[in-house]
Amino acid sequence: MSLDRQKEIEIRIDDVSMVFGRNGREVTALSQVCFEVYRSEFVSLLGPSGCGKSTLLRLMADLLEPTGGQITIGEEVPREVRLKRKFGIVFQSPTLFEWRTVQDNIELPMEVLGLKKSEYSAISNQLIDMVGLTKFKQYYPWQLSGGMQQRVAIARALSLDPPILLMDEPFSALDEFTKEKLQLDLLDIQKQTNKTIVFVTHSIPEAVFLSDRIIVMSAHPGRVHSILDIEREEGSYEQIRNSDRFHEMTARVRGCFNAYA
Amino acid sequence: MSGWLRKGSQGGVIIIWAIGVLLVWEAAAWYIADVAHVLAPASKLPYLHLVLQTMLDHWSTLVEQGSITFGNSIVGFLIGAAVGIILAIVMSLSRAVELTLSPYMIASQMVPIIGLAPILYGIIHDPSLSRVLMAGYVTFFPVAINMLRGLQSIKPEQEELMRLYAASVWTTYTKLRLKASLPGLFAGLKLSAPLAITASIIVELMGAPDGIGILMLSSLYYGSSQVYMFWSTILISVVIGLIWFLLVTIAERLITPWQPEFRPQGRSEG
Repeated sequence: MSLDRQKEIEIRIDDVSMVFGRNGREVTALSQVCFEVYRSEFVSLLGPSGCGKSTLLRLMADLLEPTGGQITIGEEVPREVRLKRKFGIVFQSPTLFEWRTVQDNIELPMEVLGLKKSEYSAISNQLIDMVGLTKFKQYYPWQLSGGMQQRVAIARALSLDPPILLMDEPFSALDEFTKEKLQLDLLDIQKQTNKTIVFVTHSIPEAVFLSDRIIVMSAHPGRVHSILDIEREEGSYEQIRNSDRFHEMTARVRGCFNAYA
Repeated sequence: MSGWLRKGSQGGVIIIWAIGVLLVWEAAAWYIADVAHVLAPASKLPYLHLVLQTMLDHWSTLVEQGSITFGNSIVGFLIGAAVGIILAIVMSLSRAVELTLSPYMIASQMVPIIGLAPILYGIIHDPSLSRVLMAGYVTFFPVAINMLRGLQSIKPEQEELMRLYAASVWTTYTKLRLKASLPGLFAGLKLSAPLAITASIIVELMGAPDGIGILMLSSLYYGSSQVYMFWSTILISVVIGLIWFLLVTIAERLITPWQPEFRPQGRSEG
C-alpha cells in the first residue's frame, strides 16, 4: 500500500500472554506478544500450528481472555467492542446453522441484534448478490459446495457492517480454484468496504498475496518472530503470482521460518 | 437418472410392497392349509381374507377395545415425550444433573416391562392409568437420550459465533441448541411410538379388564375357533402402530424440513 496512507492504530496488542491449563500442566500458547494493526489494513498472522495465531484472534474477539497484557481496540477493550457488535468472524469451517437457509444464515446476526425482518431483508439480499449466491438463497447449507458455504459465512460476517473482520484460516479447507476465487473476492470486498482485516493462515503465498503486513509467528511458545511490510502490486492473479517481487517476498517470509527451524 | 425413480418411488414402493405381502401371505396360507395339510392350519397362518372378514364382522368390538388401548398409549406417549424433553433440557443445562440422573434413567430401562406391568397394575389397580404410565415409561428414555445428544451436538464455533454477536443465553439456547436437538428428538419419538403401544398391550396381558390385549388373550384361550379374531387384533395393532409412526414422521418433515433426507434436489455444484 502507498506510504502516504494514514496510519491510525485500530488494534493494539500490548504484551499479551496466554497460558492454558493449570495445576502444573500449563501450556503457554502466547508469550509477550506486541504489535499493532492499522485501520483498513489487511494483516495476516502467519505461522505453523501451535504458534497461537488462532488463540490471538479469539483474544481480539473477546472469545478468550488473555492471562497477561492487554488488547485495546480504538479506545476500548475487546469486550466493549464485541458487545457493540463491531466484529465479523469467519472460521475455517463455515459454521452455518444447518436448519437455516442461505438467507436465514446471513440474517442471523441481524436477527440476534433484534432488528426486524423488514429492516434487514434488503441488506441480506444485497449481500447474497455480492457473494454470488442469488440463485441459492433458499438452499440449505448441505446443498451447497464447501466454497459456497464459506461465501455464506463471509456474507454473514459482513451483515452488521462491522469495521473489523477476523478470519481464522477461512480458505484452508477449500480446493485451489475455489481458494483463488475467494481470495480475489476478499480483496475486492476490502477495497470496497475499507475494513480492517486480521487474517490467520499457515500458507505463505496466501499471506503474501493478500496482506499489507504479515506478522510472522513462531511456536512453543507463540511469539512474534518478525513483522514484514508487503508492497501489494496491481495486476491479475497470474501476473502477481508470477512476478519476481512475489517470489522475492515469499522467499523472504520463508527465510524467517528457516531462521528458527 | 434416479429422478423419476426417487420421486415416484415412495408411494409406488409402498403399494408394491403391500401387494407383495398380501400375495405372499395368501400363498403361504394356501400352502399350509391345502398343500402341506398341517394340523390346525389357521392357527399357524390363516387366510388373510378370512381375517379381514372377521375384522369386518367384529368391527365395533375391535374399534371399542382398540380405542381404549391406543387412546391410553397415546396419552402415555405424549406424557412420556414431554417428560423426556424436560429431562433432556435439564440435563443439557447442568453437567452435574446429567451425571446424577443418568444412572437412574439407565437403571430404569433395565427393569423388564413384562415384570413391571403387573407390579404397577397391582399397586394402582386402574387399567387406564397403568396403560398410560407404562406407555410413558417406555417413551421417556429414548426421547431424553436422543434429544440430549442433539442438544450436545453443536460445534464450539457455533457457540463462539453466538457469543461474538452478544446473543443472550436464552437466544443461544433457543436459536442454536434447541434447533440442533430437533432431529434427535424425532429419532427418539420414532423409536418410542411403537414401544408405547406394545407397553399398553402388555399391561392388558398382565391383568387389565379391557383393551385390545384382552381380546388378544381371550381369543388365544378359546383356541382355533377364535384364531381369526386373534389375527385381527394383531393386524389392528400393526396398523395403528404404523399410523402413529407416520404421524410422527409427518410432524418431523414439517418441523425439521432442513434434514437432507426430506429434500428432493441433490447437492449443487460450484
